[in-house]
Amino acid sequence: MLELIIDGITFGLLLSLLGVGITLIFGLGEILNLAHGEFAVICAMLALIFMERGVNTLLSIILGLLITGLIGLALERSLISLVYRARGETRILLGIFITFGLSLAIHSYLVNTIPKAFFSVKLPFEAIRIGGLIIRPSTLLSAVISVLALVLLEVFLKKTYTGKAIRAIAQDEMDAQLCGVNPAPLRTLVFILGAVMAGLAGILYGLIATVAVIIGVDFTLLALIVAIVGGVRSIYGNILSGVILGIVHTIASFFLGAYLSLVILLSVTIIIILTRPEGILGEKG
Amino acid sequence: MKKASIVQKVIILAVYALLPIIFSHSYQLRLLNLLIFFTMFTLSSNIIFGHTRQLFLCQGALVGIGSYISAILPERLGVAPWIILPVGALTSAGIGSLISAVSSIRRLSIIFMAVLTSSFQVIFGELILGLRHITGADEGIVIRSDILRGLIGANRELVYYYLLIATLFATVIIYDKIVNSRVGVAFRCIVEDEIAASFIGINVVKYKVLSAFISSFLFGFMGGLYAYYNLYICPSMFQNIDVHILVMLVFGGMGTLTGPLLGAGAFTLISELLRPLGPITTLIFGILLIILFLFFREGLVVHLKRITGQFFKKHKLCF
Amino acid sequence: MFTWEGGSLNEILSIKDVYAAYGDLTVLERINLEVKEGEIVLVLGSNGAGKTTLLRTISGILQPKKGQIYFLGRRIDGLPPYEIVNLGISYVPAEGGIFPKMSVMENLDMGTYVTKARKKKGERLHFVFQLFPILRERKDQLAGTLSGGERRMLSIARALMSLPKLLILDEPSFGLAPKVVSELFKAIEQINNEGTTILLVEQNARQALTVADRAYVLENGNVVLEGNSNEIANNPLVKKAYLGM
Repeated sequence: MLELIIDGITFGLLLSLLGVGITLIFGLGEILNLAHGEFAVICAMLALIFMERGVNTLLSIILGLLITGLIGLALERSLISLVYRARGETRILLGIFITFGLSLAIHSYLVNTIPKAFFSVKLPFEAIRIGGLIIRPSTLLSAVISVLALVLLEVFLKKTYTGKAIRAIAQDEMDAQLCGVNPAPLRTLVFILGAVMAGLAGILYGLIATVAVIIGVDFTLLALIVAIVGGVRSIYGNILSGVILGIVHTIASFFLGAYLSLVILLSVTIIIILTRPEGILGEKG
Repeated sequence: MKKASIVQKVIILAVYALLPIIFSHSYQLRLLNLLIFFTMFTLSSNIIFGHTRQLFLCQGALVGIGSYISAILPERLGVAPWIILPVGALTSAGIGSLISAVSSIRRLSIIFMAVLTSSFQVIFGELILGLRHITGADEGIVIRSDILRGLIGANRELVYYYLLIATLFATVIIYDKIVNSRVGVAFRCIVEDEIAASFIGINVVKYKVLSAFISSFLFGFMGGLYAYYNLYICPSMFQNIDVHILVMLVFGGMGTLTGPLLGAGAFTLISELLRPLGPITTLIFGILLIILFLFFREGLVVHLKRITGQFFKKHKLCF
Repeated sequence: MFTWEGGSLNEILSIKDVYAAYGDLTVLERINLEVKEGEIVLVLGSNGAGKTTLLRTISGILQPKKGQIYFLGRRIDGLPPYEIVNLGISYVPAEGGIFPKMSVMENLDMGTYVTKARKKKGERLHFVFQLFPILRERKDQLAGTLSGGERRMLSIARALMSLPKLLILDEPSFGLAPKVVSELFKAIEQINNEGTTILLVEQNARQALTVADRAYVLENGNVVLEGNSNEIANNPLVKKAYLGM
């Protein structure tokens, strides 16, 4: 049981990485990125391609993350920046439809070109035993890297001028402009950051399980749930909800099977949307 | 209803009724039938999204509920299919109304609507896969009860075609009545400005639920009819319905009657042309969705009208 | 490098024949207004006269339909708000002007987002804390938890952190208790004495006229009266409409 909880936390932290990206991108540009999970798959597949060409694993992963960031940049400058031209409700709707179309296109492209590609990373270490507890080093590494990435993000948002400006835009874009903040480049930066963090989540998922090309949609959905449950504008909320959902999902999958587990998670999301649309932590945080 | 609009509809009906004379091959008839299914889906999506701006990303599930109920119940209960058809439609309508009611009472913003409805869609998909002994999961269900059982021997595609255009025209007439009534006025006010609409005494929740009821009923009804027509259903059929509907809707232009008719026509043509490409068509539809929404949001019909309008102006022709 | 594009040499801000509109609704009609270096200039006017629209147009939130705006000889109409802040105009809106989910200190940090202000952050912080001592006490508190008066002080302090040459204040006394208002006007004079030019919109004409050097009266989007504060204060129309005499 304790092992399940550890697995759950590890998976949950990974979901937080995805959810935080959705939250940041929505906070700055009001775009609900329905293609977010595809970045995780793209990054894992890129790393896989390099690995198959004989490139060192770590280098492949770094290259994968870099290229995912570049893809994020290209998409933001081309498609997403067109969406920013619209205002208010139209922008939100456009964002939903455009990223929906994008996710469909990426998903279909990957499923058609490399249907049998599977990405996973095996570590050359033995499992660690603490008392009766067996911890896989890959689980441990995945959790540590997730935490590290989330801490770095937090430091960036809290301590740097750029990070503060990002938070300022999320609160009131016009007011941020009156402080001298130009929102456009920061929106681009956040989109790239979101893509890379999703990419990292994909890589880390390869440590604890296997990334298949079809999994992008599930990632998107889980990330959306994390973002919604955590409150669409709160980062702490995202981390907390990610971990809780990770534990619930892992335990429920173990005892009830994957189908029912997802149904339970989604039902919980629906209930949360209907009872507390601002998320479990409210608007604070 | 204005005289001109009646004449217009009679002409369209006549054209539809005579189409099988030209397209008599059963493959062509099948395409025509699919065209009408698509038209109906788009029409009903138009009612809920085009007329009251409720984002339902679970249209596939609403169609699917009608289909699965119509496929499963007749044999299990030993009841005639045409009794089950409205049951399926009413179930979809009930669920659609419930979603609309809770979300409009809670005043959910678009993003929450998107997540709520797509969560529902995924739940539906997972349940179909999970309840293997009833739904057959990925393998789907072969349907043995056909509403046209009495007409075996007749040209099945042709009979279905006339059944479908009858349904379509009944729907169009009812749609027209609604849009030109007080309800239609309320719909337009809600699309313009929901808050202002509630200030002038329009019960926004009531009209939103009404539109959700009508369109979900149509989704469920057509879903059931589709199951009987196709005699086979499986989960993948309902996966991309939302995308297809969105493409058709924005192709033709939202909030109009001709929009869905033209959109569905264009869509049927495109998907038929793309069929040799196989599963990669989804990729093309994804890209099409992006392009249409970015550049032709008001609908292609509006653009065409503008172009033809300029043409007629230049040549001093009047219509 | 730098060319003088318009406005007289001692004018820090010069507004020439500016028209502004929200959609089809014209709000400003051919406004002309100057602010000289070191002045406090007051804009009076009833509700809907176009005062806030004028300030929003200067700060770049709204683009003028016609006319030119010069700041230190440089044409600024058409520039986005963030560039105008960088040039040295800080606008404090009547409402907002703070980030409620950030601490007071973080809000002040945002004031120094303008790069040239970052070097002088310590000096500036000293000045605003001396101006509004309460902010020092509250510096780790979330801005959203401050009282109305404290919020107003924070929004002015944040604007001052950007080292503006021209500070634009929209109704700084609006909704505040009389005691706080007097404090605020004292602070405004102090800010001006320290060398910052101020353009001020106020409902509270009596108090505002005592600190202002010159004033404009706006009606229906037009400047109907202008002059130094004494002339304006003694004008029978102003006395009747704005001073309640």
